[in-house]
Amino acid sequence: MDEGEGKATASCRVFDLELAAYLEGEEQPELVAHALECSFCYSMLADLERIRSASSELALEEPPRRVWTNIRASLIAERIIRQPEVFWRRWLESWPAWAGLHNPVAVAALGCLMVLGIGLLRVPSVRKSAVDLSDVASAAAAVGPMETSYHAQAASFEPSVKETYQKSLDSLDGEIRECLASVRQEPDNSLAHEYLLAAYQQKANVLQSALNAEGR
Amino acid sequence: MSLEHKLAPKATSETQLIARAQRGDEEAFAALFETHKRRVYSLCLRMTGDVPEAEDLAQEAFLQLFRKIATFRGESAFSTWLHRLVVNVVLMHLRKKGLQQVPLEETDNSQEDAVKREYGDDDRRLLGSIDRLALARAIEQLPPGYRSVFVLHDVEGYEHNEIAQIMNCSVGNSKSQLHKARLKLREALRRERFAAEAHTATDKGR
Repeated sequence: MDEGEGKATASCRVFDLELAAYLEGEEQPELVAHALECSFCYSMLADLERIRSASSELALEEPPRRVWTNIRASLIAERIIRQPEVFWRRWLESWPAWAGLHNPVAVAALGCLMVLGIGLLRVPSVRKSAVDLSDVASAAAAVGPMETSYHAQAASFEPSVKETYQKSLDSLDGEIRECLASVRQEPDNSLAHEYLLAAYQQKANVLQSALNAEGR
Repeated sequence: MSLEHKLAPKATSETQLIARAQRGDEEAFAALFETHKRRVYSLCLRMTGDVPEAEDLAQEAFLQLFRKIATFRGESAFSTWLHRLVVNVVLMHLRKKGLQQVPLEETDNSQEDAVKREYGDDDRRLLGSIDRLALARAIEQLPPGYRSVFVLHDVEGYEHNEIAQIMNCSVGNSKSQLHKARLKLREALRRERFAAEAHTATDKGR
């Protein structure tokens, strides 16, 4: 039965005052009794209980893929994610700074010295490269299509992600150029071949990582 | 199968994931993100009502989590730790934006927030089943202070004493904000429903 007939009664005003407490779980028998007699207050109570119930069951939203892509790029840049390192780079980084081995030029010079030293010890024959040239050619060939795919997708990357990957790729391209120059100058320099192969493989890893990250 | 048995493998696997993440394992970070991304993003979205902001905040919250993960010792549940961190990130953001979360005055007796007493046929109708999308939209439209308390309490299940602690307000203030938020949501949902019904009636009349 509706006791309102267009006006709020004294009971309705008490209902308004006590409603919040009732919804918080307080016992309010008078409030319930009033709601059963007043359609407006009954409607109010039922609606608020439905809203409360529906709110606890709202569907969870899916974040866009770029959220993880950005997080991953930041974690890599901050070295919180530890990526597998190429053996020779880890070995070189273990040397103290004064040794100058973080400088690619110094590394190349050391490589030349080592090759020369080995060559001197093994005169007259020069050690045959441990790395097969076909391995280097295969690694270089594998990088090509991946690089094409990367450039096709890079436009859709977040700027910070693209920058992170591009820095790595630029650095590796620099290493590849240096190694290629060394190989051209000294075709029998095994260390240069090994470094060249490692640089191509690392570039392939970076490209694969970028392509995987975007596809995830 | 008991609840403990159901939960044990998940807890173990999450513990293992956390240990691997503490060693910098990328797959572990990815798996933790995958497990918690929906809840974190949804919380950010509901509390800000803005998609780009929610993306940025979810990203920031996960980054803070992963930067600190080495310090996680398992005293509390990982999800509780993460959840509290997300709430802090969002509230910090809202404060920086200058949005006062909860008015300093304990009560606000403005007419706007009072229960509307406009009797009529429409007012007596119940909402019936609630359209979840309409509810989500209505939550987004709530004023920021009401929205934060409502989301924390009715969506995320926080208690008023926890909300009061997080938002630096009194328990009474939290309760008051919540009630006003529910009333505002009801009005918004009813308006939307009546507008939709009027639209349908107009279409039928043509």
